[in-house]
Amino acid sequence: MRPLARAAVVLLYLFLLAPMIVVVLSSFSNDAYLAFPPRHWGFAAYGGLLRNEGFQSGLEVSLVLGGIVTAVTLLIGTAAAWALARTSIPGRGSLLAFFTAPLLMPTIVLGLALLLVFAQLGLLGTLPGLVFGHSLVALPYVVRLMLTAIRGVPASVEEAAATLGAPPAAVFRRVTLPLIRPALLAAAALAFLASFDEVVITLFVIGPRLTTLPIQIFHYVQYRADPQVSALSVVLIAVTILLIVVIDRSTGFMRTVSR
Amino acid sequence: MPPYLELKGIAKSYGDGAPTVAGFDLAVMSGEFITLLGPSGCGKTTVLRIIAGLLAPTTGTVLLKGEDITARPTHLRNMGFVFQNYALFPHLSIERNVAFGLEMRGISGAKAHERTGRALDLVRLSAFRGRRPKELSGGQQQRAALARALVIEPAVLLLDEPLSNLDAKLREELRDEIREIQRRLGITTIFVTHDQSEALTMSDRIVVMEGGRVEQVANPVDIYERPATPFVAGFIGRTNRLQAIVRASAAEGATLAAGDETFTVRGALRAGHAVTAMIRPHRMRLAKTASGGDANVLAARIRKVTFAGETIEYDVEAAGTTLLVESPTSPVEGLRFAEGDNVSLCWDPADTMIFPR
Amino acid sequence: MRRWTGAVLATPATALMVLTFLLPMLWLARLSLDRSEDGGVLVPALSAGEYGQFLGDPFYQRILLRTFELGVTVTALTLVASYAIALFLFRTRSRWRAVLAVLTVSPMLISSVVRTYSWMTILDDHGLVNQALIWLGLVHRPIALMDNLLGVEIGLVQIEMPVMILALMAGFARLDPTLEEAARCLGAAPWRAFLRVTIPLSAPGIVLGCLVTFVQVMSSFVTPSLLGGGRVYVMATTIYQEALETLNWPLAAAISIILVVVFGACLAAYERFARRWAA
Repeated sequence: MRPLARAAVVLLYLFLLAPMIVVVLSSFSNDAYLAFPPRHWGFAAYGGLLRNEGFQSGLEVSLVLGGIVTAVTLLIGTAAAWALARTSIPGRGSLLAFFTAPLLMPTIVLGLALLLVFAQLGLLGTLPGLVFGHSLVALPYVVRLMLTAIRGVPASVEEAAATLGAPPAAVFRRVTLPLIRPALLAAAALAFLASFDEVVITLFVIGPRLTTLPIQIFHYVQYRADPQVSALSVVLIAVTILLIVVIDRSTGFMRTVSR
Repeated sequence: MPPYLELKGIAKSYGDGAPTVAGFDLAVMSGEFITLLGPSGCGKTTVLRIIAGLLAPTTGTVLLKGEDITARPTHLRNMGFVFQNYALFPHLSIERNVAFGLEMRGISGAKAHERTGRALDLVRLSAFRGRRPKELSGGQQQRAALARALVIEPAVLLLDEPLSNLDAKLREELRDEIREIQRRLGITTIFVTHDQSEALTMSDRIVVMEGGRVEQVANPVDIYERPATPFVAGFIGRTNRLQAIVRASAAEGATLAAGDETFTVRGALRAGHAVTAMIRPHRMRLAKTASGGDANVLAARIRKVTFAGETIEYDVEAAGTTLLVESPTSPVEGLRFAEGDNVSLCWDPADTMIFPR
Repeated sequence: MRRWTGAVLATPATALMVLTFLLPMLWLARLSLDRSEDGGVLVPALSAGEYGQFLGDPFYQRILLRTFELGVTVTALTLVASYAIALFLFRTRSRWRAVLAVLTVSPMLISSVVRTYSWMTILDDHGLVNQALIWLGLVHRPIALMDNLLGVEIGLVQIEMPVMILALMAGFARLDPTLEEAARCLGAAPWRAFLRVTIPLSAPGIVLGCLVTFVQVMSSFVTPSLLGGGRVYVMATTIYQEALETLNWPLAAAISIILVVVFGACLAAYERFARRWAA
């Protein structure tokens, strides 16, 4: 590769990765407020983070919410995917488009729309309301992933199980489920991330007594620059990378991207 | 004796189009090997899946040992099914694959192990019991699928073009193995294929299908020698076709005219009727001159000679059309003909198959 | 039986979608036709008044224009910045390829708040860039890289790069490398072959990437909010303000519908384009 081109790519990669590098480095700071490079290097920011009750409660909510959303969307999403793949219900194409549609809408619009309806239903600022709101953005990923996975199991394999005496529930448990397990893991990771990272819709449906971690960070950084936030960001980035590894192990998506 | 498996008036249609299967009736005796034979799209696989319960018929009934099982779900029919693409469970070993049906019946432990072992021995796959399906070749996978279907001691064994994905040599080997195993176990078997040589070599009876309907049900010899319709005659083996008019008819036979030539056939026909006469290529002979006797003779001219190892094929022009003659190869040079030769084409009138047009 | 089971299995997910998507979107569209009086009083109506207010008022017109400009600028810059990386990533045979690919794409899975915050640490008056500029002697006082449109643009470009790179690579996948080689054999200098052959042929990927980036920037909220310091007004921030601060729900709804229409127009344009290129 020509040296000029190579230099350009290196610079561009630096631009692409700079924010993450800076955040990681700035988290190892003993300063009271954010400075880069830190005046005093150390782990004080992480220590402060552990004692920060506000962030702790936000983290709790985000984790619990993420868990519930993952469980709910995995269940109903996989069921819907199975119906789309294996049964002859009418309008399968339109139904799939319907399930995918939220991905094509700006979250600001989705958030406002939810605000309007939830205000009428009294779901604002409630955990169920948040579950519904986050499930909206998590479900499309689950349905699409599981649909591909189920389609990847040849129908003849399930039919073979039936001829050998397996009733439909046993066919699913003993044959289909083991074969779609990798996709289930990937879908779970994606659904969790979709909920855990969700900001805009959440802004519209939260209330005074219930808040998630991203929202807390959002309000916090509008007024302060604090190494604790860098530390928190590093933790969140680490969790994300962990989940990406889970997704990759299950589906080999790294190989797909690098092809 | 009442039939073991019976299909009465089975029909299947999707929407408003032509039915996939129409008016299908079949009575199968215990231990019989029946083949459903026909080109792609003739409905044979549909019928098989209806027997297995994988598909519900639009009308008609399926009876097993006299019981109506039309509404019974697949997993309660106790029928072994061997798929074209083997359909082995990719996440289980061969042994677990074969034992699956036993597990579903609550048979496990030593009993299951013993029966699985016997099934694997039957198909000579014992050495591969611990492997995964993807580690096996196509032929081995098919044998595993067969063992899996047999170990449950099914009431009926159903096979859906099991040999189509294998190469020619393997197909022949497995063909013999399957027939041998079936004879030994005496399992009532329905076999679906589009390959007529499989049908002819393996079956007790053949059901020839086309366009969702049954063309003929008979044993292999009758299917070959006494086809009921032009389709059957044309589908099984090769045939020559002559469009002819009945010139004269008598008790022992009739005289037909095709082009400028005439020839005789057995059977009583009405004069003036149009018919299709079909003769198998290997029942025709070429000779330098007519030898006399009561064989049919046509003047012919050789268009093309093809050496095919065991036989020689001659494309000849006779009676205004092109006919194919198959002769066994012979070390005697003098019996071979060449392109452009004028010869006599002869055959026995009894070998002519006649169908009304 | 199959049909019945299928309906039962698909119902919960469908019900969720109706509750959280179909119903709300219809409500939104309906509400945009109501009017709002002073004090946040809702007047049910069937009027396009709020639309008129948004599109007619110069204040809001400027917002629409600024959002549009932002979309175009960021998309163009992102394209330029991403093309080189996408091409490199696509063609490299280095053993780090997979790692680099993941590194490039995985930021997409990190929360937008965290990604935007990272930029806040860099563009701040005492941040990395200003420190570097002062240290290099290029400026004497920190320049304002945050709380303004410039900061928002810089942040958005970097945030959108992974998406653009993915789209470009998808387009490259359809590219035949021998075509550029053929051009070189015919006498074109490498950069010429690149301009005259590679770029035009990767057009589908470019169009897809630009489209996705454009719609994402047009509807972006977190980055303009944080990096704009509350002083950069775009469509998304205006919707938020009108809905949650001014409580003028019909207006917020109207602006949302306009945004959706822009989205829809871009999608439709892409469909047309994609069909032509598929031929």
